[in-house]
Amino acid sequence: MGPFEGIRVLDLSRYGPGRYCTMILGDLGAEVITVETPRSTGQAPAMMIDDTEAHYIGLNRNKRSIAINLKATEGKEVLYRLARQVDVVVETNRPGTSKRLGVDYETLKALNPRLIYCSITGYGQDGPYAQRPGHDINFVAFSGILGLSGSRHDPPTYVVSPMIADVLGGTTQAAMGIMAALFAREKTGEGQYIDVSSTDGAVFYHWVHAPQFFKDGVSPERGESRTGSDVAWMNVYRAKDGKYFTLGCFEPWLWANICKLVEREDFIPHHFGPSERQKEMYDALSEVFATRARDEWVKLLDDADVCVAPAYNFEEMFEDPHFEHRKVVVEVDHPKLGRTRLLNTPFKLSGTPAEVRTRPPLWAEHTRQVLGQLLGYSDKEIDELAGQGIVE
Amino acid sequence: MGPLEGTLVIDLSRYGTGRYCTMILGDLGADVITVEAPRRTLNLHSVMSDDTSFRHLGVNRNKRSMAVDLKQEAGKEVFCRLAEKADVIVETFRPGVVKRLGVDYESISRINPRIVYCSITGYGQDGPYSQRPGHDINFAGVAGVLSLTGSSNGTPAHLPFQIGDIAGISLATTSILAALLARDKTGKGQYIDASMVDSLVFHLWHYAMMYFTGGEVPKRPVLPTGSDMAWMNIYRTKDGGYLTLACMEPGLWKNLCKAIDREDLTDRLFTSPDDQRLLYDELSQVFATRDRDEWVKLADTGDVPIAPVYSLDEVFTDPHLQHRGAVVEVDHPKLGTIRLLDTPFKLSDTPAEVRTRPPLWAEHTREVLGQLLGYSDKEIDELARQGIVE
Repeated sequence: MGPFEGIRVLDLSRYGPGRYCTMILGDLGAEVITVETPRSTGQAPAMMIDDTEAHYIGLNRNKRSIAINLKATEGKEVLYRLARQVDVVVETNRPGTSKRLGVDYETLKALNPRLIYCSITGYGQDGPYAQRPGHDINFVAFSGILGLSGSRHDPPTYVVSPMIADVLGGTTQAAMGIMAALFAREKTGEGQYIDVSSTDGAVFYHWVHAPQFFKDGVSPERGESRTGSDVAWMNVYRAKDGKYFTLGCFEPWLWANICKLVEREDFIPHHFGPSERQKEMYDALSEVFATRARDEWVKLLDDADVCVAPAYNFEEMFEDPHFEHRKVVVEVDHPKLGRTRLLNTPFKLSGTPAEVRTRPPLWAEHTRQVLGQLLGYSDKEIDELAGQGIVE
Repeated sequence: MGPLEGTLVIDLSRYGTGRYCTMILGDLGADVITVEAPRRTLNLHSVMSDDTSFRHLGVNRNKRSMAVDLKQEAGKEVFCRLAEKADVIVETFRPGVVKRLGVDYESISRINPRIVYCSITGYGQDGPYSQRPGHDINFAGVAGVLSLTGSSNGTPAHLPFQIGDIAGISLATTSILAALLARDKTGKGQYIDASMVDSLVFHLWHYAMMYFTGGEVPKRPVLPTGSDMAWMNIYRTKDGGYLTLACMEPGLWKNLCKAIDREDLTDRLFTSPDDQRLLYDELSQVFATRDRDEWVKLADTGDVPIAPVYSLDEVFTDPHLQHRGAVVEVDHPKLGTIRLLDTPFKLSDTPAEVRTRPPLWAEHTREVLGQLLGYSDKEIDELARQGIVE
């Protein structure tokens, strides 16, 4: 039984960051209801229509799915009934849209003062750029992270996964904010509004670069090397079989161990030497590492207590015994897809565990169930609403 | 008054990862005490011992600092007295270390069953790699992240900041918040095993899902920008700067085509990878005709998802981020006025904030032992003399 057992979440979001946030809450035991836009309106977001598509499957386990047309008055009525029964609402509309639809915090708060309402956007609810459209690559660029990625001899290089701004900056900030607000509510008895900006969150991740910049005033730039690191002791190396592994010898004794192993003890005193020296050492080590296959090196270096790890592709990663032990993948049965793999929740709480309890729903699978069981609509009323396209 | 007001957090961690996690809790209103090892016991490599270093300043605001030697019986006793009053403990030692020190979850929960105890490590508390040393670059490689970065013509590119640490921090912090909430119902604490690699893998969501449903092992892109799709990419501008484009929606792609007078490109949004690479070259030529900030104006005037690739100094002088409040200034006794990253949380009723500056090293040992734990001045002097505390 997860820590959020008994908490009910309403997901009005149309995209990844919102769905991902409510998935985390769902994994932790919350009851999550996603509100899709009826397909008949022609305005359902492309990513969330096909319930067998990778993105949909990846974001919607532990949730129930209903479809309501929020532009219709009767649709809003359904939503207002729901709002009274939930603890958390998450939405990701451009600032102003929820208000126009009549589903903003002020409106719902009047119905349910204990409601915690979280908006996740790229730039936040206010400020000069609040109305700008954008996606992760834009936010990562704007926050200064992209400009530091890659080599200065190349254009900046974007990391497609994990999504640094949307997910690490936006989603997790939202999840933390919601949890903190739920915690505060235990004392105050009241809900509140949470304004999450992915770019604000991404900027906060400059926890090493920003303090350094604040201290010495020098704006950091991309480094020389295409590996993204200019020091030999923390870098990516190519092995004989064309596979890669990483060294992370920050501690002096780890650096000494690797120097001894490759018979270059003359490198030991130059651990944190200047960049020309680092390049020299990197090239020398690269030559040595090109003489054996990756997995041989990983074993050798691991036995010698050097900070090493293989650089895996997805196939290797998911077959690695460590990940099997840590159970990073879980399988569920899906009515359309059969046995489906999902990323398991990474939470490991000893007393109130998180888990994947239910498979991703089919699109609008639970409209009737939610309206009937939770909101008290009769079958006839539901049929009527469906007939008018208010729900689906 | 933040949401975690009244919550006492003890930070045993020695690295940025644990410190960052407790900093977030501190920003949310918790009372955080970092427990350092006395300086004479520190080895050469101790990231947190220089309290004016940028690393220290970056992760230690909203905290008090004390130093205790956990290897001595009397020091352990001081710690246990603290742990009795604590709500949360965070540590980042290799699995087994806290047990040897006698301050692991089993030991502490016996004297304080309400303790939420969180261990943050690279590989987790168990499993074949749990005893391996590791740093961020190792975690990124093992989690498959490096298989997606760089371009297919060269080596994988590591990221300029600690993505594994960040993923681990977010997992730890959310776990702690969840456990605190659960405790309100159950009355009990619990143990949290937070693994940076577990978290990193979880954050691969859409790429992992595409792999799970399609079967093809995701590969590094061909273009050095890290993306092979023209509609989501990085372009160089006339002045040598860069901008990003992300036209995932047909409507927004149309806006772009209109804005650059290339409505002939409207139908080429989700074309084949080969065509996308051709399209990338075409768009590159277009974007090379004007300066970066001119193009960025299209975000406002043309409703195009475009943003500049900023350097860090540009980030902090940008009017939007200034409005949102990305930076806060505090006074520091040794350094004068210093800047810190402000907390990004914006909760309407129980706001997060930077309340106190980063402490000087072991600045609060006497205060904590005296006021919180009830030691007399004489007892504290004795402990200090013996090197049990500093």
